[in-house]
Parts: sequence; C-alpha cells; structure tokens
Amino acid sequence: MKTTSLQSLIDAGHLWKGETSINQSITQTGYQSIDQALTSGGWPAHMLIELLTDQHQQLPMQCVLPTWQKYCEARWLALINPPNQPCAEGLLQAGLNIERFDVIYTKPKDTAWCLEQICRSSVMYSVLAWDNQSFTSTQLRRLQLACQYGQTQLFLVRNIRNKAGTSPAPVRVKLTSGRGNFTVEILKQPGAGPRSPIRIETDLNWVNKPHPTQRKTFQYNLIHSLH
Amino acid sequence: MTIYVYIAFPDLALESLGLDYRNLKIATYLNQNIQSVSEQACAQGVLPGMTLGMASTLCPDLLLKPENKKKQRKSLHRLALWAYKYSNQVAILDQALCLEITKSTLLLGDLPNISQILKTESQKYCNRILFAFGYTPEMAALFVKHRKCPKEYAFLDTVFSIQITECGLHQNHAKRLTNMGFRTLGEYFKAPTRARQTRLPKEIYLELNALAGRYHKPIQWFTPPKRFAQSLEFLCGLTTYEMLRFPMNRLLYEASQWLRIQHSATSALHWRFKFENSKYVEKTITLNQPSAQMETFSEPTWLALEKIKLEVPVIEVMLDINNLVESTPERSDLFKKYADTDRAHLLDKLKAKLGQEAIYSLLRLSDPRPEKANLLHNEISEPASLPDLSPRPIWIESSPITLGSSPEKCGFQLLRGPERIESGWWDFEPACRQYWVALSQNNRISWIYYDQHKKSWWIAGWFT
Repeated sequence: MKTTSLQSLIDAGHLWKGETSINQSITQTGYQSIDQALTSGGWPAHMLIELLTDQHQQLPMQCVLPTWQKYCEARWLALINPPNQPCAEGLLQAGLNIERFDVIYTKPKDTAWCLEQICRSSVMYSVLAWDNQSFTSTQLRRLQLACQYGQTQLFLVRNIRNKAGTSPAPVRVKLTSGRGNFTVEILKQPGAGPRSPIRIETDLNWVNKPHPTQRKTFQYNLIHSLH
Repeated sequence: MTIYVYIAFPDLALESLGLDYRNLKIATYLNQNIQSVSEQACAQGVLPGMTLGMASTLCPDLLLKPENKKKQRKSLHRLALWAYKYSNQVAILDQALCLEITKSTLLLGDLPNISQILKTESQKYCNRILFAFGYTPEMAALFVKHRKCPKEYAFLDTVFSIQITECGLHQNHAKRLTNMGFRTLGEYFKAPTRARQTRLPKEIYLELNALAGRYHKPIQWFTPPKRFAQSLEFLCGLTTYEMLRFPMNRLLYEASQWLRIQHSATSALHWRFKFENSKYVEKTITLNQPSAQMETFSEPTWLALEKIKLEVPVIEVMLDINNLVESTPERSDLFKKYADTDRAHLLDKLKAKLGQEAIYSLLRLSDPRPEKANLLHNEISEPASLPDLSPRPIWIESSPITLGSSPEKCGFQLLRGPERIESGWWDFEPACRQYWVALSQNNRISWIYYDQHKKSWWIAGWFT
C-alpha cells in the first residue's frame, strides 16, 4: 500500500495537530494575555481571523489597533467597509502611518471578490474588513487560501449570530464589551481548542491626563466615575 | 552595404475588412474586377483579375466587398507602427512596408534571425506576409515578387539571374532591352556603364541600377503619430464580452508597442464602443501609476468592460491615448519584497471593478475644524505631520449626531475637556465649539461638542 507523509504539510503550516505549538509567522496582539492564549503566541500573520461581535464599531479596532501599531511599517494596511469614517488625526496619534493606509468601500456583491484580490496580492500586510454580506463557507475558504497565498492577515468582522455556524476560518474570536473593559474569547485556533474568555481592561489613563492647553477646572476623574 | 527588408501584405485588402476572412468565401473588387481572394474562394476557382460576373458564376455564394483604400491605408499604418520597433526607418509603400535594418542587425541578430522574428511576430497582426532582404528597397521588392529570399552573399547573383521581362519594367522598355540582346539583368549589367547610360532613358537606367543596389532612390520615412488613436471595425457586430476581448487585446498590444516606441507611459485609456444603432459608449480607465505594459492595462480594462451593457452589437472599438508621460524605469529596492507597482496594479483592478469613488486614502489637512482636517481622498495621501493636539478619536462621524441641549439627558458623562475650537470665519463656515471626551450609556468613549452657534450638543466621533 502506498503511504504519503503529511509532514511537509505540517511543516508548511497548512495542517496541524491538536494541542501542539505551531511553527507559523505571527503578529503579537499587543495584549499579553491574548498572546498567551493563542498557541503560536500571537495572531497568525497569514490567516483569516474571524472577529464575532455585536459591537462592530468599537471592539474590532480596539482588538486590532495594538497589532497594527507594532507592524504598521511592514506593508500597507486596509479598512474595508468601516462603519464610520476613520479619523486621520486619531490614527496618527495612535502611531499609524496614514500614508500606508487604504480605505475601501464595496457593494455587498463585490466584497468577497475585493477581499480575495487584496489578500492574494501580497500588497497589504493586514486588513480589517466588516462584512456587509453573509459569506458562504466556500467564500471563507477562498479567503483563507488567498491569505496564505498572498501572506496577508485578514480580520473579518462578522455578526455574533454567525457564532453558531461552522466556518473554515482557522481562528475565530468572540468579542464582547463591558464597562471599562472588553472580553476576548478564542473559539477556534490552529493546534488548540477553545479558551476561556480573557478580560482586557481598557487603558483610560489618558482621559485623566489633561492636555496642557486645557483648563484644569473642567477635568473629571474617570476612574471614580467607572467604579 | 545598407540592407533593407521589403514586407508585402498580400491579404491586406481582406484583413482591412475587419472580419475573419479565412473561413469565408470572400473577395474584394475594384472597377468590376476581382482584386483579393480568400483561400476558400480561391479553391472554388475565383482568381484576382476576374470579372465579377465570372467570379459569381464560379462561386455562387461568394461574398463580394468593394476595396476600401482608406481602410487599407489605416491597416498599413498600424503595421508600420508594429515594424517601427525593429527599425526607426520604416517607409509605407503600396500595400507593403520597407525597413532599413542595417543597424537593427546589431540588436536583433543576423538576417536569418530577423526573418524568424518577422515570421513569428507578424502573426499577431496579419495572416500572411511575404518578405525579402536586399541592398535597396527595389531589389528586396523584386525578390518578393519572384518569391525569393536569398542570403546576403547571393543578392547580386539572384538579381542578375532574373529575366529582363520579369523585372517589373514597362513592357515597352523591357522589349527595347531584349531587342538590344539582353535576356537577363546579369547580361545587362555586364555591358559598359557608359553604353547603358547613353542608350537608355535616365529613369529606366536609374530604375535598373536601383534593382542592382547601385542607386538609392530617396525614401519618405514614416514618423509615428504623437497620439495613439486606433480603431477596429467589425462587419458582423460583436455581442459578447468574450468576442470583444480579441480586438481589444489587439489594440492594447498595439498601444503598449506604440508607448514603447515613444519611450512614454500613460495613466489613462479612453475606450469608445460604437453600437449598431450608431450610439456610443465611452469608458476611461485611469491607472494609479503611468505604465506602458499591456498586462497593466488589460485587467482593469476587462473589469471595466463588464460594466458596459451589450444590448446592441458592437461594430467598432476605438482606443485613444493622448496624455503621455515620460516612461521611467521601475525603481526597486534590492531587499524589498513587495514592489510599489504591485499596489498600483491592485488599486487599478479595484477601481475598475468597484469604481473610482470606492477607494480612498487618508488625508490630514491643517484646519482646526476636525471635519475639514480629516478627509478621505481619492489621491495617494501625502506625508502628514501632526501638531500637538488633544487626543483625537479613531472614528469620526461624517455627519455629527445631535444630542440636543444636554448630553447628560442622552446618558453621556463628560470626562475630559473642554477643547475650544473657534475657526472658519474666513470661509463662511464658522465653527465655535467646545469639545469633550465623554462616556456614553453603552460604555463607549466618545468625542462630543457643544456648538455655541446652534446652542446644542453633537457627537463628533468615537475612541476605541
């Protein structure tokens, strides 16, 4: 009987065994606790990562921004169908290079095509896309293959309703917001099972640090207001 | 010695009709006489020179089309552009081209090599060519007429072996020479020069000398036009995108060759499609970076083509390129894995499919008003510097959301502020606002402001 070795696929990161660390390129999440929960120590750099949330506007960016701050000079970054207009000044203050930033709006019927083209092209390092259509399993599989081909990281924001359904995305994460914090629950990842939810405290110290030009009398203490 | 190549296009009249004549029994006519015949019609016995009546009798389903010299000239012009990439001295002759290729041998190799290149490359433009080399265009044309393509060392021997009656001289002149006792050109040239010069009219003497490479007639060389405007017409209207791709591909190929000749690049292609009902549709493809590469043009073109509704057959496709920029070689970093051109190609593709208004860069202008300072722009963004500002949100509302007279009533808790912005008196859009960082009811950090003019509160943006 003819035998075929799967080692080459495992070595290439296309196939993985359960509960083992995987040799794949990653980007650090910017949150130590999430890095520890992910088997490779960060977001897979060339994979489709599903972010399942009902807070489309705030949480995905909160989750992705620290990663982008670390890797923003690598290649280009893109926002696809963002729910609001990105603020150039805010992104500059966050340490991103807006010269390497594209914002793309698509019609629902073109979204899958557009994402595939972007992911296959090797131009973008990381893409944060909001779904404006319901992706089929085949489309998600194609996006995953495109990410591997073009070495692109795609964060796809999907509605929490999709949690129950199956998905070919190698990484699935549920995001929920709380008062002064947000929770990251890894539902699926290569080489390991689900992880219990991780609570991340939002850094709000900046709110209490006044800008020199502002008058002190108008300051409010955030920490007191939150607890 | 100077070497020329003479290229004849025997099917030029048929090719300029704009249909696939190879599968048709078709012939062109002029003054009631058949001029050019397709292979299938030829197999039925139709030959050039026949009367229309005889041709129709031999082949009842023969498709007859009048010769159109204007279209032939246009086709020849297109072929001259193609030939220009092998030599910068190209002349348009009657149904043929002549290229001076002495220097081209340095670039393209020896004559057998050039023959091979001409054979293979010409297939993209025409079905059949006949060509030969010679020391003068007349010598090369004579070889083509006799279906000979001698090697360089045999040019003169071949010329000298040709009969006087078959060297293209007027019948009377040929008869005069044969009466003198010359049967071949070789015999004629063996006679002393002075004797030939005195016995023959000057033009005949020079014409025969030109055949032997001893006299060079002045040639008017072709100059490529400064604007690419080529069109292809179709006798049978094209009804599908797949059918349109072939002629469009041909035009794109020709355009890229022309740009290469001009050492130029372009960032805009203007397409025009003429329909059977005489209506037009125009489509402009804009590229992110000027290019002369066919590959760069084709994908955005196909994506844009899909947006055209083909309800009526297309009878003409035209490509116009008029805004040229100097072609600069692509700059690349030895250690850079991803070229800037990749991004330009990606954006070209996306723009063609999604539309120009779908892709934006971020732009920061130095205006105190946030809605004027933070823009989405279609052009590539420029380096932006940031003055010392209070924290700005990641998202801004393109149209601020009203909170009424009090943010507290809407569940907003003021956390930090105010940042006063008073500006816009010069452009009649005055803003007098106090910006605050606030916590919304659903625990989101927002950026809100109090408008002094409207006496109301508004949501301007959201922090992460």
